Parts: sequence; structure tokens; C-alpha cells
Amino acid sequence: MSKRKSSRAENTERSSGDRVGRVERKAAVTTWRKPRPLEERVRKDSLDAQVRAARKTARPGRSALEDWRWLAQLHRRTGRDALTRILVTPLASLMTVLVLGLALALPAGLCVVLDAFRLVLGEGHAGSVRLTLYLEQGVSDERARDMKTQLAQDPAVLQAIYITPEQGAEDFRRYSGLGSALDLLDVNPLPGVIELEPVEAAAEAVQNLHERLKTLSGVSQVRLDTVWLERLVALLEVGERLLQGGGALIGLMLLLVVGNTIRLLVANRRDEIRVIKLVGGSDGFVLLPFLYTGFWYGLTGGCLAWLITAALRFLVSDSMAQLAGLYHVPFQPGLPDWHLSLFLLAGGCAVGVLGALLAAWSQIRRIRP
Amino acid sequence: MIVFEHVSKRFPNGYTGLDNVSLHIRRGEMVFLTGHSGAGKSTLLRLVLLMDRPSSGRIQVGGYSLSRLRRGQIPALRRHIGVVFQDHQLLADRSVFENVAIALRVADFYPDEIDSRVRAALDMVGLLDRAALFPEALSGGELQRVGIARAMVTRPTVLLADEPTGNLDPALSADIMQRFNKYNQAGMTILVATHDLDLVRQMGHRTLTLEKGRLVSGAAQ
Repeated sequence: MSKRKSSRAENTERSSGDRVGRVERKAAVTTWRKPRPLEERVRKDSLDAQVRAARKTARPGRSALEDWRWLAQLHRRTGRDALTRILVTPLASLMTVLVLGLALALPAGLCVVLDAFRLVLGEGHAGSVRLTLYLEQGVSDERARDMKTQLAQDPAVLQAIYITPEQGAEDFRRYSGLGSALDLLDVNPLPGVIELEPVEAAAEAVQNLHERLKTLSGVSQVRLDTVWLERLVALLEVGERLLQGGGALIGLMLLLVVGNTIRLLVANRRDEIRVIKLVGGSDGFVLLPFLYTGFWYGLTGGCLAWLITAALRFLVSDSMAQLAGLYHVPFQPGLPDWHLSLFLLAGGCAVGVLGALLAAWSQIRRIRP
Repeated sequence: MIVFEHVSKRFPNGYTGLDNVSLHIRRGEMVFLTGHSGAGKSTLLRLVLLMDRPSSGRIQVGGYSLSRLRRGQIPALRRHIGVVFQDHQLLADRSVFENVAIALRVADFYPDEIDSRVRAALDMVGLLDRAALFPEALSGGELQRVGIARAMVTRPTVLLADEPTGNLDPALSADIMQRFNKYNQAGMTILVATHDLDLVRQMGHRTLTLEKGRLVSGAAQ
């Protein structure tokens, strides 16, 4: 222990960077004259203990905090070196980043389109969903008005309008063009009608209300005109499936792009890797710079995709505003929301690191000094 | 420090690199390994560094039983062994400083400690003023000294040298051998593979002679 302490003191003394002068360097050299035997450094009974002991000799007397500091320094330096290497070959790096950015922007662009659909499906179609309750013939006018009052108080109903059989006949005469046919009949065959506007326009909520209204006494039929809504929902679902499936395929493609780039980098640095392994570098030590290279590619690709998506949103903002106006929905043009931004940046980084890991790990393990 | 017990190494193509070699090199000893080209000198050094595994037999280096070492434990062993190659094995795209520092970076040293140790190692081999240069700007002797600095910067207990004077003139060869001698006097175990018999005779250390993979002299001590 005392040996370690004295060694640590020496190291601290020598760690004054550029201020190290000739005298101190000579002092450092003299420590070679007393190398501690390897047998003394390691316990012979356990190989793991040997490795632990060997690691400790490289980092004598370090606390956990110092280990963290060292780790932070290692990552900072490795990350910086990886970025420098990328910048040394700007054209090749730019092409990789462009592929990543454009590919990531594809699902993001689809997200923008789906957002437009959601806008219409969300608040947009609320005013256009109507439920029509056709009352039974025997229901009196007074009871029908009571039913309308009760339905108007229902929390799921925004508005209820009662249309008497007389009003219905009048409307029929005015709009159908078949008014003379009614004159041939002795009695008005049209029933009383209550038109409802639901509070919530979501398909499920409307369907629930529809089912509930069908069970009311005095109601012979409830009509819900949702064909256009169902088509839009189906389209949205197709879009979302496309986004999921296409996103997965694009993710796989990006893994291959990053993997191939990193595989070439590893092949180009084969000699360097051999030398690093010869002097005691572990596979993990060799791998780290490649992971950072993948990380930088992914991050810059994600940033590029974010810019493309923001530009796309800007380009379609007029059309979106027009669409929103048709459905009386407020529309705020702006940058991609934080969900999409996080998806692009974190997704890009994850794809970069994972692609690098998959491509480099097995290759590095196969390289022997 | 280095123990070989009935070690053989046969390659997949049928070539026998080492044939039933047993030897014992004690701590603090300096030993020369001689033999003709293809006698098995490099194979022996590669086995010590675990660049290859023996086909049979047992090897111990400084308490590590190499046959029992797992793949993940090999780097830890190599950090205790300094190696000097005939062809230097330096990285062309790194400066002299970085070439030496790499041995410390893999061994988890702090940057400030790396700085002081590398400067000391380069000063020791007389190349401190060349620290910022790249290998292509150095002569053969200087490259070899950079290799020595890299091998020594971690203060290893064992130093292996494979034909360290192969490309050098006699004066430089003598200079490098004097350096090895100095490290040995400081307690380092050194194994030098060479076919320069004149140099071996001048140094006067124990000599192991290999012939067609068999140890023909020098094993007993």
C-alpha cells in the first residue's frame, strides 16, 4: 500500500503537464530502475483477480470519483477524435450524413401528412357529425319535445334540435322536388326527428352514443352518417401502418448504411487496430471510436432530417392553414413538435451507434495482432 | 518469469513452428534467442504475447498461466509486456508522441500522466525534440528508438524484442543493445530474438538456440 501511495505521489508530482522539466523527467526515468515484479502484482489463485490486479497497477490508488473523471476524459477525447476523423474526409462523410438525413426525413414527412389528417379527424370534423333520431309514429309532439330536452342535457350531446313532422314535410316539399307526392296522401307519413350534435367527434365516442340512443323508447331508428369519417379513419390507419412498416424498413436500411460505412473504416484502420491490440488494447477500447463515429453520423443525420422536416412543414403550412380553415380549426404553423424532434435526433443517434456496433464488433474481434 | 513446458506449435498447414520446447527465464534475466530464419524465434515470441496459442504444452509469464487465460484477459497481460519489433509497428498517421502515448491510453492512464510519461520516455531515447514529427520524417534508428520508447513507457516487467537491430548499422545496434542492457541492470526481464551472433557474443548473456523449432542449446540454467 505504501508503495502505491508513494507511486501515486510521484505521479501527481509528475502530472503537471507542460511544466514537466528535465529534472522531473529524469525522476520519472529512474522509476524504471525499480519495476515491481509481475508475480508480486497479481494473485496466482484467480485469473479474474489477476486481471483486476493488473488494472489496478495501471491506475494506482484511484477513487471511484477519479475513475469517473478518467472515464469522462476518455469519452470526451474519443468523441472529439472521432469527430475530427469525420471532418478530415468531408465529402465521404457528407454523403453518409445526407443519406441518413434524407432517409430519416421520409417517415418524418409522412408524419407531417398524418398530422394534417389528424387535424381533420380530431377537432376538424366535430361540427360535421350528426346523429338523426327518427321517432316512432305514435310519439306525441309533447313527448318528443321532452325527449329533446332530456337529450340536450346529456353530457355526450352538444346540441339537440327537434324537427316536427310538419316541419319535416315542409322541408321535404322545399328540397326534394317531390312535394306533390305528399299532397296525394291523407296523412303526413313523416315521423318527428331529433338531430343531435355530439360533444366528442372521435369515432369510438360517436359509436357509443349511437348504440345508447338506439335503445331509447320511442325511437325507431338512429342514423349516423359516418361513411366519409370511416374512410378517413381507414386512410389514417393505412398511413400509420405505412409509417410503422416504412419506418422499420428505413431503420434497417440506415443500420446497413452506417454499418457498411463503419465496416470500411475498420478495414482501413486494420493496421492501427493490430498495433493497439499488441500494446494491450482491449476490443472495447478499439470499438469505442467507431461507436462515436456512428453516433456523430446519426446525430448529424438526425439534425439534417429535422431541418428537412421543418422546411417541409413550412412548405405545406399554407395548404394546412387552408384545410384547417375549412373545418374551422385553429392552425399554428411552426417547427416540428418535440415528439418528432426527439424521434429524429434520438433515432438518428441510436441507429448510428447500433449500426456501428453491429458492423464493428465482430470485425474487430476477428482482427488478431 | 517466463516458463515453457513441453510447448509445441503446429500450424494448420502442417508446419511445426516449435517442437517440444521447455525453458525457464528468471526474473531480471536478459536472454538472447538465436537461430536461422524460420527456426521458430518469432513463433516463440508470439506465444509469449498470446498472439498465437500453443498446440500443446504450458506457458507461464509472470504468474499468468497463459493456457488458462480467457480472451478478455489477454490485453491485461500484454500491458505488462513491452515489445520492440524489427519493422517498428508504428502508426503512420500519428505523431511520435501519440505513437508512444497509445500504450498508456490503452492502460487507462490520465492524460496529464500520459503527457509526463511520454515526455520522459522520449527524453530517455533522445527523441523529445522529435515528439511532434510523424514516423515518415524519422530515420530507421529513430523509428526503432520510438518503438523502444513505446515499449518502455508503461514500465513493463518483461521486454520482448524481435530482431530489434535487423535494419540498423553496427553503431546503432550497439547503442540499442546498451539501452537494453541498462534496463536489464535495473531489473527488467528481457528476451531478444536475433540472428546477429556477433552482437550476442559481445553482450555475453545466456543464449537460447532454436533449430527447426527445437531448442538445441541454452535451456538449462
